[in-house]
Amino acid sequence: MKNKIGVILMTVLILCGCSATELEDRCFPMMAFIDEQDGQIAFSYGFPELSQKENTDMEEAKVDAPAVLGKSMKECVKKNSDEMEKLADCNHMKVLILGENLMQDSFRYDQTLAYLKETEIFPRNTYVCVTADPSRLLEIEKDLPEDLGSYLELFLQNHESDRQITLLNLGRLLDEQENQRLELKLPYLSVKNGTVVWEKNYVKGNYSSHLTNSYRQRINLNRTGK
Amino acid sequence: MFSDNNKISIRQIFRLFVFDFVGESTLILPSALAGFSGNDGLFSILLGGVLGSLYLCYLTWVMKRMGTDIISFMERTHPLWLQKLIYLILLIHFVGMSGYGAYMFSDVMKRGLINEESYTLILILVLLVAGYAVCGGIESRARVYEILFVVLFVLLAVMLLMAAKDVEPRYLEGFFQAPPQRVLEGSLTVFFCLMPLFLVLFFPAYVEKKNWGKMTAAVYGALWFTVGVLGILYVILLGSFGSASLSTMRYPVITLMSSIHLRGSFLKRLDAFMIGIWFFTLFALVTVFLFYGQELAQKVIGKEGKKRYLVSVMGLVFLVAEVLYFGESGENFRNYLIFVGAPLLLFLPILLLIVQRITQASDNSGKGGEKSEK
Repeated sequence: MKNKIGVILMTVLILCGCSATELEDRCFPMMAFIDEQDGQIAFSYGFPELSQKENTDMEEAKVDAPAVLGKSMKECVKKNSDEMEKLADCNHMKVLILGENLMQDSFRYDQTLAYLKETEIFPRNTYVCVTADPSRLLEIEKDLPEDLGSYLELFLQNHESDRQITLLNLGRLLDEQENQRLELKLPYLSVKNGTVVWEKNYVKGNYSSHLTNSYRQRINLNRTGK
Repeated sequence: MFSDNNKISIRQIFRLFVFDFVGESTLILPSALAGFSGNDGLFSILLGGVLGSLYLCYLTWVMKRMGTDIISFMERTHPLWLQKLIYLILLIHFVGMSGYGAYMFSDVMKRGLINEESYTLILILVLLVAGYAVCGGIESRARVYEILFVVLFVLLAVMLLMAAKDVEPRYLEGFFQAPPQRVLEGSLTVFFCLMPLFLVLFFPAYVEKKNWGKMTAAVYGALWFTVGVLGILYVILLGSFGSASLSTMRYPVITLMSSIHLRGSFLKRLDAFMIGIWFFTLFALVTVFLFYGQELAQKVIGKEGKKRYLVSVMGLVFLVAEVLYFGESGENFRNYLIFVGAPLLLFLPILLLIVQRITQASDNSGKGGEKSEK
């Protein structure tokens, strides 16, 4: 009996991999941005540049992920998924960038977060920050020593103590949709002279400019991003 | 090296019961308690522990009256038709409990690790492994849990310490705000999750009579150990998610484990390993009810061939777990536990003693009648 069960177990174990998506059919976004644009949601992923990695087939590793527009986050994710050849596996995502327009459009903001909570497509420990124009951040990515997601993760972690705030992750943002008990402070990033700048924090609902003059952190891209 | 006498040690009993309690209770209770009474759910946990202790006190009293395990007691004192009826009722309940455990186990595995995999395939694998474990008997399971206990709970403590760093103090403000009725409802839910205490009535078969006192003390220990783990976990979950958000989550403790920010490439994957603690504890819940289900099925049918019964019970458990998943009726099963399962396990022990008294009285009157006739 034990042997029979053992044989059946082994067979089932071997068959377990049949329906899973293979590694080469997946892509791994390191960041995502969501914004509001002309009454619609704009959404895109950011992928790591694999050209610096050894033994990487450049053509195979390349992921085309154009920004998409849709009435809701759900529609955007579906459009994005239809346009990409590979399955987006967001388990390694580092940073989620929210556009300032979205933060001020409470209806779409709530709708988007409700979708993210329901589907759990992004990890809860993804850092969240705000920017006025996400496309400007994407523009400087080519000059960075690594992909924008990994770069921003290190950037935020390195300057967390200087700013004397605790970095906000997506989980806390989603929880606060229900709890409504905290004043949320998100890093407000901008680009100045080709440099990522964390000048102030964005407080949900209004701006916190009291830190603007007390702290100004610039990163010189020419110094290898450190 | 190991004795093979169908007996287990007191330490193994403690660990077996901890595994039986911890899995289900830590998975489903935090969100339910947050929904009932928010931060005051902590008092529900303590009150549930007190109710569990009272229940165990009652079971200990019944066990002493029985003087043996529940099966031997019924065989000795109850008419055959009544024995079979009670075995059948218990079998149905145990199949339901095992099916519910298997459903949660497979669901947690699917959601937590292999989302694209087929639920049915995971369930089959779980049941086959559980069946294999049951074939080894209670001793081999007890040895496995004895070894796993320290490893898993030390790692859980480490993870909880890490999670405690991210607790938001403002989420922990506001105790003594829920109405007492809601706190009481929460405590009943905690108590229902401690219902595997009923299994203590089966244990005299596996423990020497001189150790029954220690056995009961070990079960009390397991009960309060679980209450302690649940209480600490609840505070950390409240502080991490806030009561309103916690009440909307399906398996908040799994979410907590996966969102702890671990730095360092090796430790980064420790979260996936830590979900394993719920795999083992739910596995314990599945196997314990599968084990007694197989014994009861054999008693109901009355023929030899344990493994044949095991396969049949596994088939029934599979059906229950499939219905719970595809019928999305996990909530309905909780209602079954509240309105049918809990009253059954609450009143059955005393009913057995009452029936024994009645049978004894009728036997005595019968003998008295015979004597007077003579």
